[in-house]
Amino acid sequence: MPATLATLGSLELTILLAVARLCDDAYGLSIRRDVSDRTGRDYSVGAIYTTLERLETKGFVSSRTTSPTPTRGGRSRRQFTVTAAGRRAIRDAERMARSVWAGIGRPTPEPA
Amino acid sequence: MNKNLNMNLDMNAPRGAERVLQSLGATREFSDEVLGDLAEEYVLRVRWDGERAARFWYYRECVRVAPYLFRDRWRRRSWLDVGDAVHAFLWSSVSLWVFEKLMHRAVHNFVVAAERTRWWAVMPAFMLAWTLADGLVGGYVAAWTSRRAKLVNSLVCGAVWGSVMIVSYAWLFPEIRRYGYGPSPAHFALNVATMLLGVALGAILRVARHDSHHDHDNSRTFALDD
Repeated sequence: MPATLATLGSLELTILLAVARLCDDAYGLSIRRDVSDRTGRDYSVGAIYTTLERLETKGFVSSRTTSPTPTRGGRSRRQFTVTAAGRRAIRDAERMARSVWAGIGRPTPEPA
Repeated sequence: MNKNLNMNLDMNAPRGAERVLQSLGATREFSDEVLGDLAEEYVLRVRWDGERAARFWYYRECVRVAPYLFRDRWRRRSWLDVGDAVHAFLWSSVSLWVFEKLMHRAVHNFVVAAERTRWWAVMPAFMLAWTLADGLVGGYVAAWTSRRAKLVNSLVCGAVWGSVMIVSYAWLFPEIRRYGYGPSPAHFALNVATMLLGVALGAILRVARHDSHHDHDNSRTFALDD
């Protein structure tokens, strides 16, 4: 298993993919929406930010703070971007998923 | 103009709930990110589902994010927090003591009469109300006298008082069983739970109505086209 993947949990990978997909619009609320839409699970804002913080500590994403907006009660957004290490981790995850699923072309027949 | 103004006011995220979350003492960056997202989604939900449903959603989310904000605080705990908690504990304990004295004086005759008739058995509601009032006063004063993590400090005080109550009850339990004079274990457990509820309510009452030390002055009005 690639070293980058060894430290990546499933929610972390899901959020990392969401950040990559959302590009310039990757911040807490949009990431939560994207992840919830795709997984069908309603994650709390706290869970998303805690995971994003972990990803940032591991060096897979970086963040910058935007200027405050009125709709956020005068608070600023924290915009996330995938780093080179994060992109590598995504490629590794995809490669590994392909390898794990290889040979599963059709569902196994039900026992009679 | 007026219509716009009213709609703007309606679309502000509940300020009291924001203050309660801030009183958990998370870093300003973390609480700003979380509260900012909640405020932004609240505005959208007011437009889509109406204010009532949006408020319900907001309060539910507050409960869900509270552990994360508390964990953020816990990760940065220091000896200053201990000092602050002790400070709050001393002030609230003294206030509780004074409150108890005043209450005893106010309802002295009532209590004396009640004690003759085993008041623990015949007046559980009275005792529960008293315990709730104790909790409210203790929790309120603890939050009031804290400088950091007000809600956490109040709950810590509640946990200490609860522990003291449990140890005292366990100590006295053989006597209570022998003479049959005193609250049953179930009634006692209800008392402890009521006291903790009072502490939480007292603290929330304090922090929801007053800007905490951690609070920032945010612009709370915006136009619908934002």
